[in-house]
Amino acid sequence: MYKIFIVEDDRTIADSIVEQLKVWQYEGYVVRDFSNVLQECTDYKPDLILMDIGLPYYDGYYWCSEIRKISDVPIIFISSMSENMNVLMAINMGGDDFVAKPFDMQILIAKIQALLRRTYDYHGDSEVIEHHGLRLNIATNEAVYMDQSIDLTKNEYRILLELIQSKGKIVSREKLMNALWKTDVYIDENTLTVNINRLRKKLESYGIKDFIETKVGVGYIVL
Amino acid sequence: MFYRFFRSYIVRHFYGILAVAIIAIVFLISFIFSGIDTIYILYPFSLSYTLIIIIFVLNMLKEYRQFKDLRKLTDEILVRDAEMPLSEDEEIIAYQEMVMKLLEKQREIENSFNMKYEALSDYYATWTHQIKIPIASAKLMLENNDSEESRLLNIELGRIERYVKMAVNYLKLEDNNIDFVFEKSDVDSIVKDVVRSYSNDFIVKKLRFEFLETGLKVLTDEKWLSFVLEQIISNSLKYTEKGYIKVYGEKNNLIIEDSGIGISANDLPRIFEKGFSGFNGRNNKTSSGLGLYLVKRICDKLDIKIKVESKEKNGTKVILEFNKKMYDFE
Repeated sequence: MYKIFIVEDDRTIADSIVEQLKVWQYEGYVVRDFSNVLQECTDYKPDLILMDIGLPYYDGYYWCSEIRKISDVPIIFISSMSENMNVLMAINMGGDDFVAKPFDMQILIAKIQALLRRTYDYHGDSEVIEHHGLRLNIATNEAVYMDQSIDLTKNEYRILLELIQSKGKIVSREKLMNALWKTDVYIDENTLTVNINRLRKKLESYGIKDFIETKVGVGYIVL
Repeated sequence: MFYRFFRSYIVRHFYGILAVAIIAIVFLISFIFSGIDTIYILYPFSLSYTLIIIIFVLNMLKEYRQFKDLRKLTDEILVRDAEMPLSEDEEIIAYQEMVMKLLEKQREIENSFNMKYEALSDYYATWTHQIKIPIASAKLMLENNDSEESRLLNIELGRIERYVKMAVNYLKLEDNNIDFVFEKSDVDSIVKDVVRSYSNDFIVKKLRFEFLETGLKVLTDEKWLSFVLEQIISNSLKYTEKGYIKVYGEKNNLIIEDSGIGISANDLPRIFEKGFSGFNGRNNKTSSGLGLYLVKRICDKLDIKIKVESKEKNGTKVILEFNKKMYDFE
């Protein structure tokens, strides 16, 4: 399990990130003592660091350069100060990437995953989501069921991923559409219905029956 | 300039010139009537008058030089620490003191204004960072909430976010303090980025988005171009209740077309004016008349020609024409 060290003084943002990291099988840790970030960091031995810029005591640039003196751990800056100058400064101080606030959680997760993959050259459990024997690999966008690879289109894969990520909860049609829009597929209601039906048929042909349930007037659910 | 000086010189020295002229006339007349041989007087007479004229001309040249210096000083007095010309004339000295006093006062006002303005704009910058944090928090909280309310709230948050961006960019443009970074940019990916941020708006309003990839590559500043597109699409979304928004390319143009309420022929020529909100905007009340004004100004700076075609009730078409040089850079 990858360990992510979060240097962020806004509790809501930090907690949301930790929560989302859990979904992806990452462990998140939020700094407690902002006057001694370096110590906490070396104690925690993270695989990746998320760093805010505006912090109490010292700013994120300072901590980044302090950490860089002793470690090459990947660092992603997350800040509302997103002028060109700030981005440049963050990179100069040893940051690997920059995410401007307000940000989209999916984008942050994607960046974390990409950076981990690049740094550790490792395809671990964090890259696979599993439900009832159906495994989705987010690094390769592949779906596998009982050692059989299922041939899914980009849209079908995305819908499935969204449903499995919120398994046990009803996912509204709007949320599914939104997830697809975030990948630049400008789907409307009718096309979504068509996509879902096709996806169900494909799953059935591999022996996965009733995987996706319809909640009339609301959306879909994977139990 | 010399003519202006000459006229004022004559006016100023009017009594001197008049005195010399009266003396000359009186003497000439009395000599003629006294019957003395004019040759005896003509010599001293012309000699003294030649001298008088030389003195006048020299004096005039000197004063003309002073006048020119004074004019120059007038032009420069606000730009540099100009020194007043020395003078013995108490009247002039009084005027000079007056000018210096005003100048000092003016500088004082300017300094305090600058200080206040700087403090204000520092605070403004801090504020725009601060406000982004609760927006980020709220958005993240909504991500785990799949309901109609959360989608509507998300749209509202998106609006706040864009108002903040507009405020920042407005200040930057008014201050002429812009960090343009011109790079080879992929127009399609900028369009996609912008549309992504509006996904909820489209879905909730049930509007179609039709995108025909343009393949346009231009030399531009991505951040500013994306701000321009954001504003245009935001307007389209605001004034389109059903139908579509379409983005496509045509030669070197990027076209954003909607099936909205359109713009009346009366309003159309004025939409880029600062503070103009038109009939649509006045009905909407949230219109600041700032969005399109900023769009126009940024387009000017990015060397993009912007045209709007529209008919009332019949949709609007915004055409961004990229300068030929911008995509011919290879």
